[in-house]
Amino acid sequence: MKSAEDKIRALINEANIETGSGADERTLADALSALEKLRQKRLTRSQQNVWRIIMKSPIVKLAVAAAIIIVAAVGIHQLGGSTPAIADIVKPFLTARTATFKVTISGQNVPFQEYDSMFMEPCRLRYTQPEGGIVIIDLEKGKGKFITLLPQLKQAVVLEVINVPEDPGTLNFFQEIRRRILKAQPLNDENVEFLGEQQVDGQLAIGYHIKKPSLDGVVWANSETKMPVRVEVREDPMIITMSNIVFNVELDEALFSQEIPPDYSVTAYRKDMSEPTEEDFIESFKIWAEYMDGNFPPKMDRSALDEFRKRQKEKMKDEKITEPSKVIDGVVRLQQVIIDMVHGFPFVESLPADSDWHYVGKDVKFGDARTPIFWYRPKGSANYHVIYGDLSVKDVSPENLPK
Amino acid sequence: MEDKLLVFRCKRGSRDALARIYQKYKRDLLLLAATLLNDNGIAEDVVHDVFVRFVENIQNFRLTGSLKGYLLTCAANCARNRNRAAAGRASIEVGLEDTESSSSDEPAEVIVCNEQLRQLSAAMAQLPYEQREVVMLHLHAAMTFDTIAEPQGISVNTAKSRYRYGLGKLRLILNHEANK
Repeated sequence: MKSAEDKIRALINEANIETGSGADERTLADALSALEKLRQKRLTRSQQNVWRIIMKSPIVKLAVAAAIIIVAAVGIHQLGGSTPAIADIVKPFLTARTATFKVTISGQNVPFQEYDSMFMEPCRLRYTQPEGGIVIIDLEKGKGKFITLLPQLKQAVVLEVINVPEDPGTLNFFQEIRRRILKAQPLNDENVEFLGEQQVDGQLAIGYHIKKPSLDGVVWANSETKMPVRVEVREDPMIITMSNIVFNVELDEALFSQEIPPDYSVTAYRKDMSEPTEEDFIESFKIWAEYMDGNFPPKMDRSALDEFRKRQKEKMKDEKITEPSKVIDGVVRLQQVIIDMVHGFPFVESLPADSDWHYVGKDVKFGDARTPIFWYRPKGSANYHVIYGDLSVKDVSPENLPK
Repeated sequence: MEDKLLVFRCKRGSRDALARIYQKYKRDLLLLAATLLNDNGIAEDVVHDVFVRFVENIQNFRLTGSLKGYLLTCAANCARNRNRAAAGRASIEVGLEDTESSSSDEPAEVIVCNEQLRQLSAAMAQLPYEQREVVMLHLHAAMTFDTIAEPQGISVNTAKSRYRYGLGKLRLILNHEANK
């Protein structure tokens, strides 16, 4: 039996078969056509979902994760002093004027993603999205813009941000790493393991495994130059890798230009990045009530936002708008409404634990001046601020609070 | 890892990645389909359908095993459907025209590209389709009997039996060829 198996295997391995003339061309043409259709579909979807693209970009989330490893690495060296190479490895992150690098996200059940990125001081970042979009971020002195160029669609999405925090690290991947390195010093080195020397990305490299309860990551650096070669952060189930890192490379400033080509159509949004105040909070209630038939959120929870989105989609469906440009206009308007609305609600999260806040707006109708929807005790105050259904605010002593 | 990258790039719309996948695996798919169906033209159609459907569904595709194994399984499924359809058509024609021969009795156009392929096709053509499929999937695609049995809705033991019977016949056929 074995010899028959071997014989068949040999025949299979040695069998020579070729497609007929034109078969390859036909198959590839049809497959490529299907691929093009998918690409167009995805690009259109990307355009409509611009808020997610810009603000929920994995690269922004990555900033946190990837930065942690550097933070840990620097801190570890500062206290211990026994692993001097790790300090050399992270130093370029603090001093580089420019950098280019690739960010890769992979893992079990995690869509593989790859971003080619460039950084330029003071706070400019450019990266290429898998869909083909080019994102250029430029932030300084409290304001800035995120621009997404979609060359295939000749469209640009502009997110203008105002009141940017003084240290806008979380909005810029590279800057975030730098910020956290500085902020973290000094740390201890008890969880650093020297991994020795091996070939990494075609270079002889030394590695350090940093093991902490919140971090499991590896830093590889060229054995001779000590320049970072690869940083791998394990954020279960993701593995986030920063590779092809080159510091102080000559980059043309034009790469970070936020001028939009004249033949592009532009969709613009505006986002206030300041800390939300009570006024912003009230404005968020107002927007909610206006778009949700005079009702208030059922609870002070991020999941309520899903309900908001769902209801607005239903409304758009009820309006039976089918013309693509009008559908897109509607989506764009809705995105801006959501951007404005979500600015104020985090006010609740910023309240201290002793603020004793209560939300009771579930069944209250907008305009009801007698029924409270929210109250809390401002910092340092003996009295409470009570917000009513007409969004008026009154100063109320604790004994007169709603029961 | 290369296949994962190719699939990733393909998902992102890379034409080069798609062409690379096609060039890399078309021979394996064509050989399987041609051996199973014994018809070069239909085998090419199978390869065509597999690649086009692969692209159409690529957004939901997750590469958990080997890409080659996945594509060969798709090709086997597609070939099986075509074989059933052909058998159905043949039985209708038999009923209508009252002919005695059927397409399965008579090997169709055997692809002859070199001597090894001629021998392989000729030998395989003498096996019932079900045995042919299990033998090719096990020996060509290196699939386990579990993975062969599942998409066909048969038990592992049935798959093993088909393989054993098929291989026994092939041994006789090949020995007979060798003694000629």
